[in-house]
This record gives sequence, structure tokens and C-alpha cells, in this order.
Amino acid sequence: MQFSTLKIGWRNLGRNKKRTALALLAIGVGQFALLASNGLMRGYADNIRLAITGPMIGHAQVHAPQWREERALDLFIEEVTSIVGEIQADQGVGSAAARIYAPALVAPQQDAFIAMVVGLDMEVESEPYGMLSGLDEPLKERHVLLGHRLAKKAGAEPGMEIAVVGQAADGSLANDLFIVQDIISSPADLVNQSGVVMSLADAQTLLVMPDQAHEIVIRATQAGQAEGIVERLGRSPALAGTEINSWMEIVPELVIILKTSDYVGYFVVVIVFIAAVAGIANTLMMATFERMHEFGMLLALGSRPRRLVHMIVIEAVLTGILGVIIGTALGYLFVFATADSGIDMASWGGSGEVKDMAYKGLNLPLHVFPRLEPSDTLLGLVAVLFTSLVASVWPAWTAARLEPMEAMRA
Amino acid sequence: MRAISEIRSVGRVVVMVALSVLVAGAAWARSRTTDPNGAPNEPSFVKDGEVDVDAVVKYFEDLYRSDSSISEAKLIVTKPRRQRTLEMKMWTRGEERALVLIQSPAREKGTATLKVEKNLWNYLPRIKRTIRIPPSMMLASWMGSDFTNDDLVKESSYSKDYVYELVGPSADPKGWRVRFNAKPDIVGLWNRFELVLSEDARIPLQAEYYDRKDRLARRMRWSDVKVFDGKRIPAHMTLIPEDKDGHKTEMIYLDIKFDVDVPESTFSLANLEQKR
Repeated sequence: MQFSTLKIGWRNLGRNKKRTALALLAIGVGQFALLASNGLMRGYADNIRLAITGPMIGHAQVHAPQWREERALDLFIEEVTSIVGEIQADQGVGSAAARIYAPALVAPQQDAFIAMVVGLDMEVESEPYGMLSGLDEPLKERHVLLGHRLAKKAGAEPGMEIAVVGQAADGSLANDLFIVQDIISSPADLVNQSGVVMSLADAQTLLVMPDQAHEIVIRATQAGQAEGIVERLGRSPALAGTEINSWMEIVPELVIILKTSDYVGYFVVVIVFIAAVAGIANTLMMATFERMHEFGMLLALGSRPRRLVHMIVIEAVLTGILGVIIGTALGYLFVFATADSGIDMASWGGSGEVKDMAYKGLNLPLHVFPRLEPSDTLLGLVAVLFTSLVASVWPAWTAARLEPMEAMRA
Repeated sequence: MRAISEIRSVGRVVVMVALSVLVAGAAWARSRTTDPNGAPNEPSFVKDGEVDVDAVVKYFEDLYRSDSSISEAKLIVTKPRRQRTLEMKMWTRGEERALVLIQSPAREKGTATLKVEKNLWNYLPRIKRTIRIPPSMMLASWMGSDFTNDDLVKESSYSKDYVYELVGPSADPKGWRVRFNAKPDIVGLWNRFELVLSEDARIPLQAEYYDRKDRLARRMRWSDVKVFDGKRIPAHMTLIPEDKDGHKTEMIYLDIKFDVDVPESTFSLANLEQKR
């Protein structure tokens, strides 16, 4: 292929500005739609993944065998401190936090309300993605945080002294007074609905669980490491007699939802893609077919059919690349503009009140932060180039095989 | 969801369920004639090999209307991984009022439960607080036992809530079997229950409770008949839930005094908090 053919192809773009602009618009809008929908889908899936592996479940969990079925108070992990230390020594583990869950009653006054004592490792849980991420002030000893829905129901306010009554792990009656330090809104729905959050140490004292806990939540340093961690910890002698599960095993139904949402995402992307490709193909084919007269002229002047094909294809491919650049710029502009503030999908539903959905005790935020990956752009580029080729080769081939006289008459 | 089971287990906290059983036991002996030697002398409900079911049921109903009692008992709660024993003292007056005071173990000593009509309060000496048990906790168990709060507060009347019939002689345990079917418009836990009475139809031996789906849900056994305050009563009750392997709750009476003077003021919140 000669360089002059490339040059002619490039110059041809400027010859009919309206036609070129139309083709660029079709390609640009297609690429933009692809990137924007992909960005939203990714952001949404991120939300679900974070909601799962974030505050409530983590990437992996350790329990006493049977705890997940029975949730009995006396099915606890012994020697928690040393086990947590062992887990933290694993290379893939970012953090490990022991938790205690115990049903209880809380009573600000005489009336008691059903609640759930949640004993947490304050240090780890106030980190990002912890159950108490964003907590301003560390929880003091013999102080509790109340879930906002529970606090509303029980009429509790910060500063009040409340009685917490329940059964201790040894079967005895657990009861003590705590000061409400704050009312909280947590990413974990359980905490909002019925949580009486106290430090792990306070919960251990209240429930007679010395160095014991019901659950150890493990967060990996990176996503996708859960299975490796579970596999390695499973071989550790310190964790013998415990049950270790990855989040995929703990909430298999959420994994299915996640997969379904991925498929739905792909489906939407494919539809957007087909629509964009059809538009691009149509525009390019029109642009070629309407110039049959001109191609006939070139053939009559002695252009070789092969050069003609090259010229037309180069023109289409250049249009495609330009269009993709414009569309990508627009797409990234959209994603960057919304990535920090996010898009409130809840408002699309027409409700100003609902800010999240709760499922299986997890809050699934409807505020989506679009995100793109380099492969998304590449997908558009490859697809547009392919379409440009297909959409131009056929008309170019047709043109090249024409008799010059017939073509000029057309 | 696990919410329901959580809510139920919350109830391990609070209430003195065995009370109703006690009230029944207390009432059991009322209106019974005693011979001069102190041994009970009771007419049998069985005549010519036939049980007078109407008389038996009426007799059982009256059991729930005793005047007053003071008793001491042991509650043994057995679970797959542990067993606990509580000792308690109880005061009752009619069906509506009861007070239970835990005497051991030390950690729970002084904890008291007061029942007045359909309300339940718990006094917790450690934190010097009285709390009322919410209505939503009625199906929850108490102190980890297999009794529910509802067992304590309900006032079910056999003839009002159930249609009963004599099934016939029972082989195991030996005695008479009476079936109680819940009336269609009655809201309750049980679809029906089957009571097995002793051969003289004066002592209950076993009751099997069927839930609303007609599945056997729990079984109660009475044994160890003793004479308390001149009355013949099964001193040992065992409740076995069918859906929980390895769980059972036993109540063993150490002493019961009937028709003693229990002042109305015993069953007040003021008394609940003051005495301890």
C-alpha cells in the first residue's frame, strides 16, 4: 500500500464534511454509549461486591463448626487472640477481626426491646470497610453504640444508661448497664435494626466469654484472594477445629445475584453494541455507495481497482479511529465527571427517601460510582475497526469491480 | 432469615415459664380430701372400667384455679453441650399472680420474675433494674429452658379452647389417653394434644403437643409422685422438645405448701425491687 493512498484517504475525509461529521457522530455516540453503560454496570457490580466483602462478611470467615447453622451462643472459637495473630501472619490477609453476636434485650427504661449484642474489635472495625468505618470517636469502655432503627424504637438517646440483658455463653443470666455513646447508621443492616455495639472486651465480660468469639472476619489485601487464604489457613494447626469459609461459600446466593447482574450487564452492553455497530455500518455504507460515480471516474482515469479498495477502506478505518477517539473522550468525561460524586440510581426510581436496598442483612447502596477499565475502550476500538472494515470492504469491492462507464452513469 | 430464631433465643433471658406448670401443680391438689393419716384419699374417676371424661376435664380445669402456694423447686436445663441447675422459690396466688426468686447459682441469686395477669417483669439485682418483657418475646424461651414465656402467661381453658374425647386405654405409659383438639376459631400454638392419665385418672403421666401443622412438637412427662402438704403430686416434670436433639428441661419440686397466706402485696413491682 502506498503512502499516497493513505494521504488520499485522509484528505477524502475533509471533502464532504457533513458526511464525515455524520459518520463520526454515529461512531462517537456508539462508543460513548458503550463506555457509559459499561461504567455504570461496573460501578453497580462494585457496589454489590463491596457490600458483600465489605463490612458484614469480609473475604473469609472463621467459626466454630456448626455455628453457621445453629448460631448458638456457646459455639465459640477458643483462644481468639492467638488465632487472630496467626491469621494476620498470612501474606494475603489485610486484617482479621473477632466478633461476638448474642441476642439480648435492651431497656432504656422499664420496657425491653429485642436487640443483638455485637462485640467488635474497635481498632479494625473503624478502618475503611469495617462495620464501624467512619466512626468519629473511639468507643469508650462500658459504652455502646445503638443502631439507629433500634434507638428510635426503644426511645434511646446518647448519654442514656441502658440495661442489656441476655443469656451468657455459660447459660447464666448476662446483665449489665451501659451508656449510649452514640446512635449509628452502619453499612450492616443488622446493626441498624437491632445492634447494640460494644467493644469485644466488654462483650466478652458481659457474656462470660474469656478470649472467645463467634466469628473472625478476614479481609484480604486484594480482591480475589479469598480462596487462597482459606486454603492456607485450612492447613494451619492453630486453626484446627475451626471452620474456614470464603465469602462465596458464606453467601452463595449473593454470588449468584452477582453473576446474574454481570450477565445482565453483558446483555445490556451487547445490545448497545449491536445498535452502535449497526449505525456505524449504515453510515459508512451510505457514504461509500453514494460515491459510486466518483469511483467510476477514478477507474476511468486509470486507478487500479485494488488501490481504490485500499483508499476506501483506509478512509473508513480512519473515520472509525477518529470516532472512537471522540466517543472515548466523551465516555471518560462522563465517567470522570460522575466517578467522585456518583450517580444516585435511587432517584431514578422516583423516590427521594430510599437510599439503599437491604438484602440478607446487607445494605446495597443505590448510589453508583461509574468505573471503567482499559479493556472497555479496547473492546470499542476493536469492534469499531472491525465494523468499519466490514462496512467499507463490501461497497469498495463492489465499486472496484464496476465497469468505469457504468459506474459514472450511476 | 435467622431473625425468628434469634428472637426466640433472646427469650432465654427472661421468664419463669415453669410457673404455669407450678400453678397447675399447686392447683392439682386442691379440693382433695385427705385422710387422717395424711395420705390422700381420692375418689377415682374410673367407674366400671370407664373414665368419666367430663369429670376429669373439669377436675383439670379446677387445677388452674388454686388459691395460693409457696414452693421450692429445682430447674435442670439440659443442652447438648452443658447442663445447668437453678434453684428457686415461688409464690403464687390464683392463676394470675406469681413471683419467682432464683436462689442459686450465685451469679443469678436474687433475680426475680413477677407475673401479674399477662405482664411479666424481671428484676435484676446486679444492675438494680426491673424490665418488662415485650409481648413479642412470648414465644421465646426462658433461661435457656425449653419452656416459652407463653407457657407462663397464657390462660388456656381446656373446655373453652379444646374439644376433648377419651381415646381409650393407653399401653405406654399405662393409663388412659384423652385427646384435646383445638377448636377451629382458637388462636394458639397447638393443634391438639394428647394427655395420658394414670389408671385412676388422677395423675397426669404424659402429654404430647402437636403444632399447627400437626407435627409432634414437644412432650411432657410427669413422674416421681410424692405427697406434698398432704397431697399427691408428680414431683418431677420433664419437657422434651421434639425438634431439638439433646435438649430437655426438668422441674423438680422440693417442697410445696398449699393455701397459705400470700398477701396481694407480694406481687407488686415495689416488692420486687425492695426485698432484695
